[in-house]
Amino acid sequence: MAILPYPEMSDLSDEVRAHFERFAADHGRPSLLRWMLGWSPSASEAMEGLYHPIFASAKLDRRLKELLFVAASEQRQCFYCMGGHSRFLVNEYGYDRDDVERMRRGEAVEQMDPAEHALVMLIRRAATDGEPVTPDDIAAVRAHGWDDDSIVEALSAGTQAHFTNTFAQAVRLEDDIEPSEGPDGYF
Amino acid sequence: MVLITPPDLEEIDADVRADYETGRHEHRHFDALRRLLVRFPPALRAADGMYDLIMERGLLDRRLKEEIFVACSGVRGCGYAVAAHGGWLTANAGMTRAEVDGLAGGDPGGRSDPDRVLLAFARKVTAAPYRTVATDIDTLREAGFDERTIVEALTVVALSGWMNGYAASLGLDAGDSTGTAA
Repeated sequence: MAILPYPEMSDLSDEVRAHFERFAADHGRPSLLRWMLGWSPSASEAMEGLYHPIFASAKLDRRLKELLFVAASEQRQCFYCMGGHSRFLVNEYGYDRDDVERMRRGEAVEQMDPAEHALVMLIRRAATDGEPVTPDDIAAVRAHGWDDDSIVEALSAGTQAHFTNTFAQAVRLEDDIEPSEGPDGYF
Repeated sequence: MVLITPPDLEEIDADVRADYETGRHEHRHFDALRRLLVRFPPALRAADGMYDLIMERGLLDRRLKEEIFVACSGVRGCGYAVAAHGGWLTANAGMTRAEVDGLAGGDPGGRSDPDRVLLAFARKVTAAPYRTVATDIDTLREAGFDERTIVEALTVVALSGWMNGYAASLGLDAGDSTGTAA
């Protein structure tokens, strides 16, 4: 259970309500993260301007960036973030739940080519406290054909996870969107 | 050592160049990171947008937010962000370099009791966000903070994680910061 109360609708500014309505149009209702950020109009707007631009397909497609996000979230053990985005991978891209769990742990699976796996490993490394990325780590992904623009784009999915992981863990957000389903209450 | 070279500004798209130049003065304290984010323009725009929204708006004052940023970056050992945001504090809030270094090392110096409570909470969240407990919130409330200001402070902690993550991934260190800011 979250250690801060979620705002009531009457607590929200018109601006935040508009953010909620936009998010709900796509996802049915605001995520618990969005809901909690509703306490701060500027924080809510910041998240509004962060998620979609970073995750929209560019050199890397949305699917791969979602994979990188859950890999970073798994490394930091943010159950809220890895649960919600893992479920998205299953529902939107048809992945098997077990495969998503293996991919986010950094295991090589048939559904992920070696170049994508190399990026997952880089992002997991980047999400490991106290172990900065090294020249060898960058060389390893370049060896799989990724250029520097793609590497920065991949790292951006990981740093976005850092932002949301920190907030979600700090306020102890519950699992989102669907009722808890795993043995620990999270996907 | 920077692990990825920034792109040649003469060779990037005009609209990306314009975005980079627009924020160059205001955000010059983290210009080295912005130069690298030119490689993925949505991240550059997000950096500028988030910085303006989270650091400059809201109920908590800018100085306290910069202090939180430095304190959190110190916990994560991010010399780049300590130098960059410490630069803002020395240039705009009258802090000495020694005070900035003390703040990064966990010394809140002569700050008020409520600020000390908030800085201690920010450091705790940074070190282990999953270890927060309800009594942490009680302590913040007793110091005068409410949901709005607590969420605002937490977004500063999260933003520092965002920047620290880039710095650690791209090899940015204290020497890469210009150390001053508008």
